[in-house]
Amino acid sequence: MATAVQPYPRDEEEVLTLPELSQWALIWRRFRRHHLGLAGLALLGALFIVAYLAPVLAPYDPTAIDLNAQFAYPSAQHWLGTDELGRDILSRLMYASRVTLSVALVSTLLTALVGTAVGAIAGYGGGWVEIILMRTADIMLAMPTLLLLLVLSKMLREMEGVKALFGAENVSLAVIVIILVLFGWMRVARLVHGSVLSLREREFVEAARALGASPARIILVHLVPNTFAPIIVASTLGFGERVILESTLSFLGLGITPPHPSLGNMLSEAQGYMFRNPLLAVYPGMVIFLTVLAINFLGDALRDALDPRMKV
Amino acid sequence: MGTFLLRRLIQTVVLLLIISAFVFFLINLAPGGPFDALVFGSPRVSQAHLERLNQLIGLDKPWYIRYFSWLRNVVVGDWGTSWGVAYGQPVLTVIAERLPATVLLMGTALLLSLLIALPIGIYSALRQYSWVDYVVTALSFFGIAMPTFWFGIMLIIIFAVVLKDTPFQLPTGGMMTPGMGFDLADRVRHLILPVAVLSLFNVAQWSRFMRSSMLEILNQDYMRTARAKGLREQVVILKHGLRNALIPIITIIGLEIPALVSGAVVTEFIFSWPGMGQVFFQAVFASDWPVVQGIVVITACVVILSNLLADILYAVADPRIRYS
Amino acid sequence: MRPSRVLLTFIAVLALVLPSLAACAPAPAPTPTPAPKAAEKPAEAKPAEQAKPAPTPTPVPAPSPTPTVAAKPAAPSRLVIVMGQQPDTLHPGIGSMMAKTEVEYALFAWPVVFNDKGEYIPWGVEQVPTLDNGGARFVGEGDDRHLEVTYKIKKGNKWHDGTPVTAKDMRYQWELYLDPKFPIADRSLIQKVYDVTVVDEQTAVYKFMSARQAREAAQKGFRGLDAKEYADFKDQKDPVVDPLYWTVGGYLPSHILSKIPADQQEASEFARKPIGNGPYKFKEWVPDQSITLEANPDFFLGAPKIQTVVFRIIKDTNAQLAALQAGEVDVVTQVQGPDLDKAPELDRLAAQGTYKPYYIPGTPWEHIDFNLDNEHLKDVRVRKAIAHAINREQLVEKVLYGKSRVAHSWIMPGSPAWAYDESCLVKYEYNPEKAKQLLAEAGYKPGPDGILVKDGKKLTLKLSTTDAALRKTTAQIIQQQLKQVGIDLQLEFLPGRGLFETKGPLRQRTFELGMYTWLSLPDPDRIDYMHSKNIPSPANNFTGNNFPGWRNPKADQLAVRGSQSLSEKERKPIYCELQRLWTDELPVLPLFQRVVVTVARANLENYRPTGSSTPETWNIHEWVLRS
Repeated sequence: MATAVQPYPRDEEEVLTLPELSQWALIWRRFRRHHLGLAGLALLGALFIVAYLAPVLAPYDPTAIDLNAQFAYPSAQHWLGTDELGRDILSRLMYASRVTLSVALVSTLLTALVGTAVGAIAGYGGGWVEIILMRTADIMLAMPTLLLLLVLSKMLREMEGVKALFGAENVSLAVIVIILVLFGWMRVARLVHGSVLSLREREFVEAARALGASPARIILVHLVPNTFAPIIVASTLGFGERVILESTLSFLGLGITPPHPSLGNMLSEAQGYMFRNPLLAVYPGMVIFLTVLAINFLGDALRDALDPRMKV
Repeated sequence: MGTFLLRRLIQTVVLLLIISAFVFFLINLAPGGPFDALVFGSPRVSQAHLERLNQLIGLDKPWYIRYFSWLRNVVVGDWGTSWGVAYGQPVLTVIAERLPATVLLMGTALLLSLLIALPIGIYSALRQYSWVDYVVTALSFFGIAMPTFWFGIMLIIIFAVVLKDTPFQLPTGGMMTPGMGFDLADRVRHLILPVAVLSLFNVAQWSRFMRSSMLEILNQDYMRTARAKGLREQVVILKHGLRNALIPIITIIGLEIPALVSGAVVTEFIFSWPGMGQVFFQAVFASDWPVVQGIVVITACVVILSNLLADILYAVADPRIRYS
Repeated sequence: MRPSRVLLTFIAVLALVLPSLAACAPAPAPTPTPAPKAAEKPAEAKPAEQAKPAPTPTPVPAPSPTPTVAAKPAAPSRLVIVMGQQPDTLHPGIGSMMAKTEVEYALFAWPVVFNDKGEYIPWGVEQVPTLDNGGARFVGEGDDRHLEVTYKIKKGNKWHDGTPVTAKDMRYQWELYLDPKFPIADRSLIQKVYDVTVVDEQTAVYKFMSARQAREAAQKGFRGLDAKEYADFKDQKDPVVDPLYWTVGGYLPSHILSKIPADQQEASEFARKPIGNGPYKFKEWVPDQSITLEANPDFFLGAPKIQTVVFRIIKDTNAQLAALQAGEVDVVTQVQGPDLDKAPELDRLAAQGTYKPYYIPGTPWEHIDFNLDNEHLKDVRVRKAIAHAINREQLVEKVLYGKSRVAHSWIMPGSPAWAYDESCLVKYEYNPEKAKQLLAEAGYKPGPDGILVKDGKKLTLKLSTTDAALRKTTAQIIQQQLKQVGIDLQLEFLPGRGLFETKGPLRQRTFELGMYTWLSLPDPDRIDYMHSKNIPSPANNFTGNNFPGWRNPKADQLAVRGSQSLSEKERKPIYCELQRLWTDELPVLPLFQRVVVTVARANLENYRPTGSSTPETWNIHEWVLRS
């Protein structure tokens, strides 16, 4: 990585002895100044920890039905009360966060991967490859999401291959991730494509080519790392969008199927009891809200931190 | 510029053909025709009868044959008739009946969002780190993190039920009070809540966009130059800064134009707004493929054309961009 | 300083303008008539029409089919009826949506109506023609013996344009419905009619097919209809009958429709703007918004008391509830309306006094089909165990808020009354211990995780159903209850109509357990899913509704005899035996009766919703809004 120039070297000795800060360290420094971003990171971290430790932390089985304790108020036994089937809300919330966060995380990572690959190859390759890849992205962007969601949802759920690969209970999870990736890669691909287009004319690429680097190496080692900034920012924001998309899908009946709780299906089920027990919707709603908030703070901070033009 | 346009238009036609064929194919992979559930409401119906019903709408032929006859008919203006949403009605009529409602809703939301988001974003950028900035930032995060369907219902409950019998009461949905004819005040009152729901997200996102775009511009060298030249602050900002900051806004607007036609399913559903979004949703669930196909093609068309428009506007706004 | 001030003022102006728009607007949509007693505020005047307090209406006589004295002209008044879906068409012969039926019964007055008391009453005709009263009789000998049903149209029964309804209109409807190019949803009854003879202006005779005619139709087809559609009559020996033969009559305005070819009727103006003979005339249809109807003062059963009826489409259930609470609407129908899971909200609304919810146990019944070809389910002890393991009483209590009852048969109590007999039924009470016992007898032993195992195979079953809220709740409870006895139940929720598709799990018989609702006719004949020939398979082109795959020769015989006979005396023991067989072998586990949920203003008199497929609007001309 290129070394950074220290702001105020005082004398020759200092110039020689001051520690060199790497690119990443600089980024971290800039990030640290962004208090909201740190808060977001911390919040997100806490959410993830609780979510993943759900099997350990949750006081009850999230699917344990107790018809004699429907809609119980928060009490010592059930900190957040119970839902329409007498299930403990706190436990469900933990497991639901786990599901939703995992789905959002995995789909974001995969989207970034696929999008970067397509965008970089299209941008560097040029010619027919570029035309086909980018026009496919255009076509997919022009497609009505809902229709494809419905059709794909049905198809994928029925396909034996999907069932075999992921196991019968995880089919709806897998289907949602696949669909989210299928509809998300285009944006990243366009970003990366644009970036690579301008980067590939730069001297360091020419130099690498002159040194005999293969196109794959150029893409992987030289081009892609320089596109990290927009990818990371787009991904963090995309993560938040996917959390919300999951809940909208549940509202439309295409989300994660019960009895697995997800934030989305908890919210849309709570919607049905809005007049009876509005608090029911507040819990998953709050978690969704905090998650998206945290992610957006994080994304903002990252954008500022990764922008080399900002002063340290 | 001329050849560029021509090339893009040809690409548009090709793209539309590909999209329509692909969607047609996909639709037919989806199991189910419009009469499948018939027997569950009329248990005596025989399979032979169902076959005849399918035959009457042409579902007995394989999809590629149907695609080509659809294509042939589309060229002369016959987009087929609906099998589910409005049985027997021409698809174009179904669309024409709902398009104005959608354009009204989405257009109003678009305008309102722009009118609110842009000034807020600019002000935020100019007064970075002031309390206004923080409040705006907080509210915009709120807007981004809020699921539409929940917010919509909350608004309905607040304004129609809680505020019942107050001058602030608003209707629970629909485009107008039935039987009232055209009454401007009535229409506006029905518009308020759905537009608010749609605008919230837009305002939240766009004001932040505007803010960051403006911030970037404000730090540019040429702004300092303009000030050094002694120009008034207002001129500096509006003439030099704003114009450049608007470029990314063009992208945003470009991305929003298709929504003017395709509508917003969830909002339309909750507010019973007779628009394109909810009819599409209905059509998909009713297996009304002619209507689905029709709406898909129109939406795709609008998307492609608005991308083209955005690209052209780019060239106009930023003289550095040139298309070969 | 300055630019920021500009912007700030701009925002401030915006903040002021928006609320004032709401404030300046005229008063919110008024209640349609004088406000109900409970509300404190007086009725607000509507800007367009003046809502005069309605004159105390003359007490409406107990709903009688005979024409009443023409009532005083109705005071201008309006009723808003909510549906969660809009009709796809208003042509009576096309489509089968309940949304259409609701509007249809306000526009048309059919010959015979099935009312809220479970009676068939003469509506558009003088009497319901039955074998008992001589309106229907058998004519002819041997192979030519056939059933003739005679209808006499009431005097004064007129179309909205003044033309009288005649026997020609009845014949025309029969011709149209049998036209192969006409996309009628269900012609299973009317296709049995060989001819409709016009005797005079008022009288039409429907002649059902004789055995000979039926066999011919099975060979060569009939009036353009394919022979396949008469396949059931290949070996017909008796005259063709139908247990509900008196409902075969109907009419359509032939003077308008005969000009339109059968295949163009769906696109015709009539389909969107029908001319009927009912209490209301069509006024306006704003797509996806509302359908407005105006009173027909010449309605032959008495002019309606309410001047304007608006069917308003509100799709989201919460929005429907909000509309009720805001007082914007007067009636919420069962069409995609609130279901029993909203019963507590509706009861709370009722406590406020303005509205009254109606919970009518209906003829539809929720059940679980067992796929008898499944390795576990083919053992009847497993099925019985499942029946004992599910606490159906608790389901009704907790999920349906006690507003329904457990079903034990496909025949609901009172529907029809002569066929329902508890002594013919094998009942399964909630008894998890007995369930475990039965499973043990069947050779299942508990595995290490508590799930039963037999021959190395776990007792894992999959329940497929739709994603309706009530079903999700029910399914999850059942899952829990079955786990108690060691059965691992997987759940599959299919959105939309996925369960019912031709390529779906039911018809293709790839399901294991299927939970859904059967609509019931008020007649016990369900040969469509009792008979073994109705097991859908590639061999019979997936025809028939016997999804479980029940094969019982005795049941086959009984089902056929029951569907062919018209005598209650004869059929009663047949169906008793059939119910015994069915509940003993349990190809299907009935769960509970579905409940029709509808809400109306507390001061809406004569609102009499039914639990059958007859819509709430059947007697709309009798509805009165009292002050």
